[in-house]
Amino acid sequence: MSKLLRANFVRLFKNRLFHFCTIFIFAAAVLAVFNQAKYNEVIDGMLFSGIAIVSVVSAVFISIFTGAEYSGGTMRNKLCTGHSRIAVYGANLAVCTTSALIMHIILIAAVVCFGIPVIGKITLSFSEITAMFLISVLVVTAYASVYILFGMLITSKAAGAVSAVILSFLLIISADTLERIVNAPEYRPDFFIDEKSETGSSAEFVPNSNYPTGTKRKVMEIALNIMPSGQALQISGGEPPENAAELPLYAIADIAVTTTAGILIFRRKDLK
Amino acid sequence: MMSRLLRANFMRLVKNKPFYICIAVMAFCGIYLPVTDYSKMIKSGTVCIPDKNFFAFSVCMGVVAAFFISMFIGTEYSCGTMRNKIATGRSRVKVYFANLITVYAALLIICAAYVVPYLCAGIPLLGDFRVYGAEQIAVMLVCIGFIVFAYAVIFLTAATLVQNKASSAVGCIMAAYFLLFGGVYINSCLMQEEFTDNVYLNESGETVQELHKPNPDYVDGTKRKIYEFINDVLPGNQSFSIMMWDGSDMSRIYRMELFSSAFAAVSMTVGVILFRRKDLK
Repeated sequence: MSKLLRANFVRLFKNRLFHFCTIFIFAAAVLAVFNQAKYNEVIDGMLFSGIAIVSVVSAVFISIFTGAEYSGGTMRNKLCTGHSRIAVYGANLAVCTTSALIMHIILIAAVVCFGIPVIGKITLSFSEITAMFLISVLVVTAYASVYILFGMLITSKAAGAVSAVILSFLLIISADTLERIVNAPEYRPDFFIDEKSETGSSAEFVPNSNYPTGTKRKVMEIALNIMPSGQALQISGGEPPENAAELPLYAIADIAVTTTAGILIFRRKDLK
Repeated sequence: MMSRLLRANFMRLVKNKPFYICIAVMAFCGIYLPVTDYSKMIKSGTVCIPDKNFFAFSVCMGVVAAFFISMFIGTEYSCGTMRNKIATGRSRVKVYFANLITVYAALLIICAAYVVPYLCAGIPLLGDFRVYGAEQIAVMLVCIGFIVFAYAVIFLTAATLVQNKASSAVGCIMAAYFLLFGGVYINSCLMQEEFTDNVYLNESGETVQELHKPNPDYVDGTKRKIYEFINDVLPGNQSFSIMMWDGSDMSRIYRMELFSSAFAAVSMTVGVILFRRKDLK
């Protein structure tokens, strides 16, 4: 497998799309820092909020990088020279995960390097940053394992790329929608006319009909925890979430399930 | 001569899988939205009207158009159809316009795949339209037609100029999402009110009201004018504005139609000029 890994990494570091993606991520992080300068005084909230953009860019990169193995005949050559399908899948998973993590680290480094002089310091403790960074690494790995599943199983480069990009946006939109529903306030202000009040109106808090309860709430919370985009959203708030201990388990479960499914299907796939 | 190109394109369209995927997705949305509103109405007793989500499809049309057009036109390059058309003596301008007519017709059919199921399910379940009159609905549907045409021209130009199918598909879809999110962002900035009312519970549990407080997120001055101009010109912003429209200020709808046409005309001219000069290898 070391030969496969070496070949993949050589291809990765020569890949023009990879260079473009890393530059794009760096530029986006710098732009976000200058855009947020007037709203924030600390950069805690920005450190891990860029996973969404890393997820979209890595969807583009991983699907095209893996798709090129099919369209360029590299996949056929690898299998013809006797490499097992598991080794091929594992090597691609390793190189694509590395590429996504490089983008993630570039984004954090850009936020720190530009954010501290432009916005302000980091107030999170070292242990909190370390914990959130480790969770973010697992989340990015979970994203990469989902995209590699698509990239390896869809032999058409265009179809694989389109599916991965649409999936990345759907994951972000659904996690955002779920998070908004789950975090809806339990009570909402209800205004009524009050002649005794100086302003002529008063408000009282009434139960919010949109607040999910019971089984519905539990299902939504589990869905939010399972999706990599939901995990990313929960660590983007600038402080460790309440379920910080559970999130790595969900991310590891995502990686295990997608990789196992990917390997099983890829082993049986008719590669023509 | 263009009739042959059109006939060939429409024959290919009828057999095209991405076209049927788009129709299926839009038809699903057209049934799902009124049925969800109806079940909400039954469960919580809130009043739902068909007007609320009828124009929601305008927001997805950018992504749908990007997906369909990039796959449909990309196949012309990957399978050598484009080479064959040019080699048999068809002019590039005719090839471009035949493709434009085909993809625009396909997008209108995809729009109908949402509108017809929505009306069929929505009116029996939620009742008649109560905010928009028949004339307003007609004008807005025509406006969506213009917006879809602008999308068709932009993505057709991109797909015609980028020969690699995967690159053009990813580029078009990313552009569609950027247009959409840009539209959402600018609309949400413009929708901020100048003064806000804030109500919250203090530490002792009493209700505190802060009424008529200046909103720091309110956009005014030159920045507001620039945002309003972008909002009228870009198709992503127009789609979102149509979805959020409250039925007033019809002049804005006509203005959007005008800007869509201008935007499409400029993109079309650029597309034709670049395509005529392009080295197709």
